[in-house]
Amino acid sequence: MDIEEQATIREAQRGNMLAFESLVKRYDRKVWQLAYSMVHHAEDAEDIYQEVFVRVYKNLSKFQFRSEFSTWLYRVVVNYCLNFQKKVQRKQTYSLEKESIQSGENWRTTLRGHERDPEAKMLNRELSSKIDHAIRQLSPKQKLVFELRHYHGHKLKEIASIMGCTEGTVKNYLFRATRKMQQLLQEYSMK
Amino acid sequence: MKLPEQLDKYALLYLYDELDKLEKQAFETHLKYNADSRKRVDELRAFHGVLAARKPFEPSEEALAFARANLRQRLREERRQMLRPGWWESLRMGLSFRMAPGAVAFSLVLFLVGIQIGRLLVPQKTRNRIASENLLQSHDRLAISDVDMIRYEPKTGIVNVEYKILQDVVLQGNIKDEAIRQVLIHTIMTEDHPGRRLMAIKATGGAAFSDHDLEDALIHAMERDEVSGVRLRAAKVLRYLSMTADIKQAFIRVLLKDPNPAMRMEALDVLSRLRETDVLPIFQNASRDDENEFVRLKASRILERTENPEVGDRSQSN
Repeated sequence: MDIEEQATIREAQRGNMLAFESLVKRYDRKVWQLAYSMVHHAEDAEDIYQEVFVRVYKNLSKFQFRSEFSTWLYRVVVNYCLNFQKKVQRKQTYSLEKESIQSGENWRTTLRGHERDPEAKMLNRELSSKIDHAIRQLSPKQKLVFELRHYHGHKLKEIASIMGCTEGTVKNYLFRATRKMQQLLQEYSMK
Repeated sequence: MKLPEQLDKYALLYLYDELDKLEKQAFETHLKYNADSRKRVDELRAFHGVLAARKPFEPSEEALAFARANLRQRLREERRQMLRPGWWESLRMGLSFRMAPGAVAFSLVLFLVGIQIGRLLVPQKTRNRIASENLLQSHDRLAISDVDMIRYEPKTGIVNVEYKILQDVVLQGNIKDEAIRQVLIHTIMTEDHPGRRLMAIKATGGAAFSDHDLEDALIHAMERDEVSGVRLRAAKVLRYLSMTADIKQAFIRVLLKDPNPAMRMEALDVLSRLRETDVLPIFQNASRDDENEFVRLKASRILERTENPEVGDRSQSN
C-alpha cells in the first residue's frame, strides 16, 4: 500500500468524506465487477456495491493496516456476496425468458467489435453465453476463485487472503472449477 | 492418457504462472520428456483460448457516476443518524442528572459564578462576539446541540449564528469561515424548524464557496426537504454554484420527481442553460408527460429553441 493511500485512509478514518469518496472512486469499478461476477445479476450487483461501501464506511475505523486495503475491501465484498447468495438462494434454473435477457446482457459485455465477421461475432456471443452458464454451475467458492484468478487476474495468494483460507485450498477450488468448466464446455474445447 | 491429479494441477498452475521458480524449472524439464503432460498443457492453453470469448462485466461510466451519487446520498443519511444520540444514550444522560442532584446543583453554582466573573471582567460588546477562528481553535469538533438563530445581511454578506454547544454561542463571520459553514450544514440537515433551515440556505448564498459538504447539504435540501419553499431556495442557491455532475444529476432528479411544478420549472430552467444534448430526452418527456401545463409548455419551448437556436436567440433578445 503506498503512502498516499495510507494517508487517504487515515483521513477517511477521521471522518473526512472527501477522502472516503476518493477511496470509493479508486476501487468501486472493481467492487462492482466482483459483485457482478458472483451474483450474475446487474441490479443485485449494484445493491451490493451500495451496501458494501456503507459497511466499509461504518467499519473503516476497524481497518488496522495489517493487510492491503484492497484485500480488506474485497473480503467485505466476498463475505457480503456469499451471505447474499445464501439468503436469496436464487436457483440456477432460469426461465427461458430470463435466460435470454441474461444472455443478451452478457452479449453486451463480451467482445467490443474486434471481430468484423458477423457470423464469428454471433458464435462468439453464443460461446460467451455458454461460458456464463457453465460458471453458474460452479459452487459459490469455486466460482469466486475462478473469476478472481482467470478474469480479474488476482494471484492465488491474494485470493487466499481475501477468502480467509489457505493457498492450498484455493488451488483445489481452482483445479476443481477448471475441470468442471472443461467438462461443461467440452464441445468448444474440442473445436 | 489421463494424467495423475498432481501433474494435472501442476499443468494448470504452470499456465497461470503460479509455480515458484524451482517448481517451474522442474516442471519444464518434466515437459521435455513427457508427451502426455505436454498434451495436457496444450489442451489447457486451448481451453483458456475458449474462455477468452467472455469478457468480464464492465460497468459504464454513467452507471458508476449514478451509483456514486446514490452512495453519497446514503452516506449522508448514515452520518446524520450517527450524529444523533441514541435513545439509550439520551435516557442515560437524563437518568444520570436525576441520580446526582448534588453534582447538578454544584455545576449550576459554578456556572452562575462564571457568568458573574465574566460580566465583571469582559466588556459587554466583545462578550457577545466570538471570532470563529478562536472557536475553531478551541473546539476540534463542534458538538452542536441546537441552533437558535441565523441572521443574514445580504449587503455586507455577514452571517450571525446563535447555537448551543455547552452554552449559548454567538458567531459572526461569513461563509468562508469553516465554523459558520459547519453550523449551516448542521442546520440544513437536522433542524426541525423550516424557517431556520430556509435562513441557513439563504445565508450560504452571499459569496462563492468551495465546500463539498455544504454543496451536499444544499443538494439534500433541494431534493428532500419537506417544505417546497426551502427546496426552491436551495435550488436558487445551487444554480449559481459551478455546475458539477452531482448538481446536474440533482436537478435532473428534481425535474423527474419533485411534486411541486415550481421546482420542476426551476430545474428545467437551470438544465436548459447548460445547453447539453444529453438532457434533451428528459425535456422531451417533460414536454409530453408532465402533469402541469406550464411545465409542458416551458419544456416544449426549450426544445424548440434547441432545434432552432436562431429563433430562440431572437425571441430571447426580444
